[in-house]
Amino acid sequence: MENIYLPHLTQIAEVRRETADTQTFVLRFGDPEIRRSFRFTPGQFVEVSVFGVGEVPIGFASGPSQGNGFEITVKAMGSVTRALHRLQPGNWVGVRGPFGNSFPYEEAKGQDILIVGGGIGLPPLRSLIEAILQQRDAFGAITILYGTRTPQDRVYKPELDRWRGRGDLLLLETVDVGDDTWTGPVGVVTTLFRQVTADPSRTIAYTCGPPVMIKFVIQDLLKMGFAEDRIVSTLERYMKCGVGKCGHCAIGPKYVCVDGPVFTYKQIKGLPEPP
Amino acid sequence: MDASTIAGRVQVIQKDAVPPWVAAMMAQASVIGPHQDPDGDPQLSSLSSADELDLAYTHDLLPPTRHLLPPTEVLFRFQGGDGLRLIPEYDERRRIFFGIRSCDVKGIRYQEQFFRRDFPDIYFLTRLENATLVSLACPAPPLPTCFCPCCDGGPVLKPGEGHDIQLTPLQGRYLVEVDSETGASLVARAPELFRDATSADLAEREEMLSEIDQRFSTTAYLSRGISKVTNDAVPEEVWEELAERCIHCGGCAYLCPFCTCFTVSDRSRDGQQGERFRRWDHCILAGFTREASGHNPRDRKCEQFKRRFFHKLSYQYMQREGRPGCVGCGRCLTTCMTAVDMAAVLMRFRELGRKPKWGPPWAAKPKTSP
Repeated sequence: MENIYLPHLTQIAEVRRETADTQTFVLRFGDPEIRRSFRFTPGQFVEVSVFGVGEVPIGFASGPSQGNGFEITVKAMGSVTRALHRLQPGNWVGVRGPFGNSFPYEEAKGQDILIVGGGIGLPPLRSLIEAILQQRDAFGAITILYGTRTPQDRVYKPELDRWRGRGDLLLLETVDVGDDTWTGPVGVVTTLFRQVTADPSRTIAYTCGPPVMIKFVIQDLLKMGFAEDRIVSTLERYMKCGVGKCGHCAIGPKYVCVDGPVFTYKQIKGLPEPP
Repeated sequence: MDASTIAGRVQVIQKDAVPPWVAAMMAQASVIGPHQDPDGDPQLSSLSSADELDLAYTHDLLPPTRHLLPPTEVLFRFQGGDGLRLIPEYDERRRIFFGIRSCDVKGIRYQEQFFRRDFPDIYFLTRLENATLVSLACPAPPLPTCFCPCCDGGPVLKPGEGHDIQLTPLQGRYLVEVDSETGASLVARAPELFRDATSADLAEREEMLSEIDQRFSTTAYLSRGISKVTNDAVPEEVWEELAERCIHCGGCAYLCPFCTCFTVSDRSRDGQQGERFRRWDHCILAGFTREASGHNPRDRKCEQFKRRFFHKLSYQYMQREGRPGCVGCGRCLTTCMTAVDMAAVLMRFRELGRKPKWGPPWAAKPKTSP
């Protein structure tokens, strides 16, 4: 019997600073066999251990088939994420997973794609965006909306420039509060909807971000005429074990770690604590 | 007589032959059985001698599931330094649970199903696979708080309900129903202590069973609670009223033979060596769902309270777990200081939609015991 609680030893291959409190870690399993066979899909997550401090659930931030490790982007929030930020390339952490379901995107082929991310909610969507861009021709128009609190909170700056420069997708950004460096729009991410012409009958919308943002994004998408099963969101819960045992992430009859963390609004709205 | 000829057969053992039988078991396993602690309170834990076994016990407030999912346990130790190593620890001790009640067998088998599903939990299952369950049928309620008949929790187990052996008390003797090969091997340890049941033995059991319904008055009405919770027929103000009484002590979950929630923490002095352990946690505690950011999706006390009863009573969970989340053992009735235990909540639901027979509405206080 496999031990579902025993992490695989994993080395930090690279650390990239994204913002003052957010870093991206490139992780590589110590065991070459696991490194070779490890597969995941966008939307899934891993449980990352800093031994002696604890374990946290973190979504994959990189595309599904990098082969040579994977990336996570972590904001220093609690004790484990702060401890993670103190580690250097070469240090070892533990990884369990992949866990949870995925963003449905194979099913979205032939459709237009609308992606709405907020703050540290962009990393799981980046995994989805990379997956979609790997098969760019299979999808219709792609629109990415990204909002952060301030210009300093934007993650993946080089990547955002690269996406903007591609010419085969539309990337719009906004910040809640601007500064001297910011020449773009100011306002919450839903204000960008005014600049978008999405056909709700042939578009799938994906969103990830803070719970309050998700709430307003879903409200606006419904107003725009999106069907409830064309709105795909993540649910944020404290997923302590990742395998449906510890009970922390259960909402109504669902375990977010096993049944989610990705749900359509149709699935979410019947739950006792909808966003 | 060897084990293969015993399985499925009904045997009889005299009451005074039970201690020698248990003594034979103790040579090979730890026997967890009812006995009195130094204060005279009933306790289900390892026997130090077969003579201290007390099968006339009422109930241990702590369910025997705590020997399979202990309050706290080490999952693995880690050693840093030159090469980080993770060293898991499994508890492979042989345990015989002797004389546990039907409700507790149901609790253990529910937890087994939960921990086996999807992602098997090696820690719980290793302990269970080394455990033998000898249950004791209840001809009468051991305590006035018992309400197992309405929860499919007992008082008597049918073949295939998860016991290896079931003992049924008769006059001066026990009927011994063997329900597994493991159970048969326990009888085979001391075959000279048993004889085949006669028609007189079986008739005495039938008579006992025919009277059992009157002895256990089914008072908690679980099925009605299930229908109310599933159909969202409990008004918000009733949930508020019940939740307001709860003081978040956690006693109901810690004593529940069903509850499985836990949290996981690391313990280390220097970050180089230490252990990861898990300990019981409880959905009714205010911080159960709080995230590192401080965001708590279930920050209302009422929602926290509802969560516990939704898990135990909703049809959605009955589909998932295959049964309601209560075995009627009554432990939460004993421990709850504010009368929001399972029976009190069910009795309150029962009053919904019914007008009091007399007096003004505010005189209709919820009943607090079954």
